[in-house]
Amino acid sequence: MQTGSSPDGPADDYALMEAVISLRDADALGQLYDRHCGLVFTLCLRTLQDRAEAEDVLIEVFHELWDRSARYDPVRSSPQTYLVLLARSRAIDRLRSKSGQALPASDHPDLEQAANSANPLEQVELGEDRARVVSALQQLEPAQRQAIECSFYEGLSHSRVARKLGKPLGTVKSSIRSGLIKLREMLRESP
Amino acid sequence: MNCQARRDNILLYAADALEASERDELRGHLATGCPSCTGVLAEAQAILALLPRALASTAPPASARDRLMQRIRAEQASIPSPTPIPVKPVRKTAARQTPWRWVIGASMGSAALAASITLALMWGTYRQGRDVVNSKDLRMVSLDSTTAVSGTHGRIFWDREKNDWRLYVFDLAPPPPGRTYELWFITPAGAVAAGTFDVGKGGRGSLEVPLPPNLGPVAAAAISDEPMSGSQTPTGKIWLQGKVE
Repeated sequence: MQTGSSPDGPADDYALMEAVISLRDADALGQLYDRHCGLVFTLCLRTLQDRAEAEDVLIEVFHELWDRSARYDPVRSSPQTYLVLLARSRAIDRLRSKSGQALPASDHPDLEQAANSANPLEQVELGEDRARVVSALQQLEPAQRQAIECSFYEGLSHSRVARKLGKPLGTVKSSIRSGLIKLREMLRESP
Repeated sequence: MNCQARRDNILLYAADALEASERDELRGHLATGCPSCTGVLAEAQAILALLPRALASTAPPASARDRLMQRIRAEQASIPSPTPIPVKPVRKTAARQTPWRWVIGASMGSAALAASITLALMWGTYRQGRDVVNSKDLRMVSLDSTTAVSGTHGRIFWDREKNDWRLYVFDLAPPPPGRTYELWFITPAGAVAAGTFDVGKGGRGSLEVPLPPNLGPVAAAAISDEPMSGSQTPTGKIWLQGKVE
């Protein structure tokens, strides 16, 4: 089973989505799952910090892709972007539904850890795409990375990010804004 | 605030990190369909979707796939078969001896249009037809443009169970004044008129036609411009063509 995304896969992703939407081809959905389940599960696990919960959301995401496939608009996003953002949304929904529970501890490798642990050799082994993102993250200030991570993976408001990181609200807002803008410029300039 | 000034806010909006007041303003603007800001939003979402790649990848258990597919198969089994599709009448004509070998040959040599943007352009129409294109024996015929116009292409879904074709064309320019487009079944014996169609917004058009009885093997499909009343044999320029595999 392929757990990552095929580097030469975007065109195939569109063809598979086409088959899911137009032909209701369950095998095509299975292939999309094989291509992206690793990325989606990793994201869900990072947010939820619970394998069983992450597995449930993983299934929910791909089922939603099947059941409400007409919502997908290829003009707006690639299939992978759609899946990742859908997974993020559903995982955060699940996290929030567990109201009253403590926020998950970040004991799963996160943006900061991945960025700090990556060396050039690892980056080659991890693949170009990951190396590109890790490299961009490494160039952020730690405060920017932390704030973006809390916001992106845990869906925390600025004030909750500030509380969690023990930093002034204004600093957090500024870190998220400047960090995201810096990421955009680095990732869009990459080949 | 102009669109250039909204650029950074769109990035924050995509990340759910925009203040409520600014978010409402931006939502209102995006709802207008501003193409510039819609594009900026798409780019921002694509960039944000890259972030999880930095995480150490963890594979889900194999059982997850089984659970997903079992659920989908069970739901598929519980859905009744679709109702027959009403098809438009087709003008039946006698096959004429026409030198179509060049069409077939050229089509065999042309590359399939598989770029994502091309598929994207197809999507809107496909979605409209997804409920009816549900045959267990479906083939697709790609129609490539004979001109250098980027994006012009077509797809034919051949429902082998019902033996009908559903044609979709994209980015096809309006036909010359006083002309219309006509689809042709290309057989070894010649071209057989399948029907005429118009193109609308975005150069999109469609046509549903049954294959005439005793048509015989179809080697290719082609689209030409013809007089408004249609033709018995192709007389105008061939705009799209494709080999039937």
